[in-house]
Amino acid sequence: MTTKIMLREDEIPREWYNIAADMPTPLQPPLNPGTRMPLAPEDLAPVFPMNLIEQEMSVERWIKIPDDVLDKYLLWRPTPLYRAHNLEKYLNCPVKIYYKNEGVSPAGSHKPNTAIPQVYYNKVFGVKRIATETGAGQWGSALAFACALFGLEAKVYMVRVSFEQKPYRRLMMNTWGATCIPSPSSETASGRQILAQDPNSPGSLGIAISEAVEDAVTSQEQGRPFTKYSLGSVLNHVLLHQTVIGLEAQKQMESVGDYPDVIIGCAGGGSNFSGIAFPFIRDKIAGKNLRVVAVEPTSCPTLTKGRFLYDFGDAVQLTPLLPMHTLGHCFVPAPIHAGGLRYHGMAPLVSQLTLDGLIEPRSVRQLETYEAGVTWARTEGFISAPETNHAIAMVIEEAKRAKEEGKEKTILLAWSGHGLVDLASYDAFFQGKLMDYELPQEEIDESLKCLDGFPKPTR
Amino acid sequence: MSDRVSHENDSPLPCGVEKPVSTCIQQFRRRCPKLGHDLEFAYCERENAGMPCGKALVCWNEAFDVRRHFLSCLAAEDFEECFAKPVQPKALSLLHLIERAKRLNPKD
Repeated sequence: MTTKIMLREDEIPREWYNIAADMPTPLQPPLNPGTRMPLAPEDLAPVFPMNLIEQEMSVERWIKIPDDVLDKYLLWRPTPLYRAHNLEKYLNCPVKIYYKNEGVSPAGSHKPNTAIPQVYYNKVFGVKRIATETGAGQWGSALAFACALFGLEAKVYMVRVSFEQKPYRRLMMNTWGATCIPSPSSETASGRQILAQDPNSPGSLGIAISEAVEDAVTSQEQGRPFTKYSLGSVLNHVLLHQTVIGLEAQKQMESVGDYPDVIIGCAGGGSNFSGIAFPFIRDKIAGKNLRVVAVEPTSCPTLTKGRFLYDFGDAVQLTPLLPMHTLGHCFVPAPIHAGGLRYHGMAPLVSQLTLDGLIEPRSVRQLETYEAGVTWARTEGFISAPETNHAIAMVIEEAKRAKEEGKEKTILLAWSGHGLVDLASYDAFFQGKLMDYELPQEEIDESLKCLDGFPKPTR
Repeated sequence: MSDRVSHENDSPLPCGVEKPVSTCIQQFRRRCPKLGHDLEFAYCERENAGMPCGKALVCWNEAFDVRRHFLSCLAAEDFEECFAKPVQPKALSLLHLIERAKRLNPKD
């Protein structure tokens, strides 16, 4: 009974798969609001090297993985595909569950799959230093690791509230030689502007992105080494790099003579999900019968029901036509959920494939995800990253459904990372501090009284 | 006033964890999908330069009537600005940040 399905190093994929070549509805570039023309490569040149911009806009189906990138990938790739025998036994459902373990990378997640090539292409372009932003630090630590391998400087603007609450990935970044500072900082004009208004600002991802972009755009005027900016999700080239996950998984499934009926991954910005799903969606486009499920790491119980409601207002996706535009005070939750994928910073490629019916969006409640994570840890042993738990919860749901329906299923899960530096979240769960219950209104009314006397936010 | 929020069913979860309690909605905690760790609602209320995070309605809807909460404490135009404004594609938002960075740092 095989538990780990391995590939030899020489079986690692040599090309990434670019789904833009096979999209039933090709993505249209957004319009530059200034020129009303499609965004041009030079528009993004202040922040990205041109070789990555070319990948961002490419519709070539296969893109060669450079040898220098393969050499670094081999530190942890090919990653093992596991058969979750223990969870299967625990669930006692007619399912085979496979999971692709991306937690074996040095940074502990799938993020280095794109950090490595991004740093490589920057280096080839002559860049000496990369600036980025991070929240809890998963992306920042992956980029710090990649910069260490290629000898580039890394500057990470970490949202202050995360900087203070999440020290371990900050220390990982420091260990890999990156400079990680809390944002807002006094090192950029945008940071100083925020601090002037609120010296105790806890920061936000938006502020941190502003600082990192400004750092890159102004590096030469400020006398810093040639600097570019790097992003860990959402953009096409990021998703492209992650397809190494699914391409390996295809070979591994084939080696045991199996093929998934359902693929499940969590979809925050879309990169881990796309990594495992896109090569299989290619099969689906070609007629293969499988379901591809994106689980949102938020609590959107009506996402699927409302899916039809979100649409683009024009062909260039500049003005999304959403009920939210006009609802204003009549705003109700369902359309918000319907817009979930777009409104959660989801990758345009994933959004479009969802609109085309190739991806099925699903959601699970927060406590259910931790419950699933604990079940996973107590059966498979690995402690999952909290976002990975969303996908695990959906695996369990699918398995139970298979039992109810009396159908056999083969499930492939994207196990995107370990949770060893997220144990505070587990602690909050164990202490009952995490919310997701619908509370009785009278208790909420009572609770709201605690806000009496608080200043009301104004702009 | 009650000093805690309780739940219809206070029985523990299947793994033995007690269901959550809190003293005030501002202390409610949940995982922030943007930052990747759990935070209090107090942060979500002011995440956007002192205004609520655009995701607050979605994230907190299942916990309590967050829409009603914000309708009661925000001006109508602020509510729309926070929650009804369409989100730009990432590439466009980067373009805006590039232009903003240049404006904030004039070459002369």
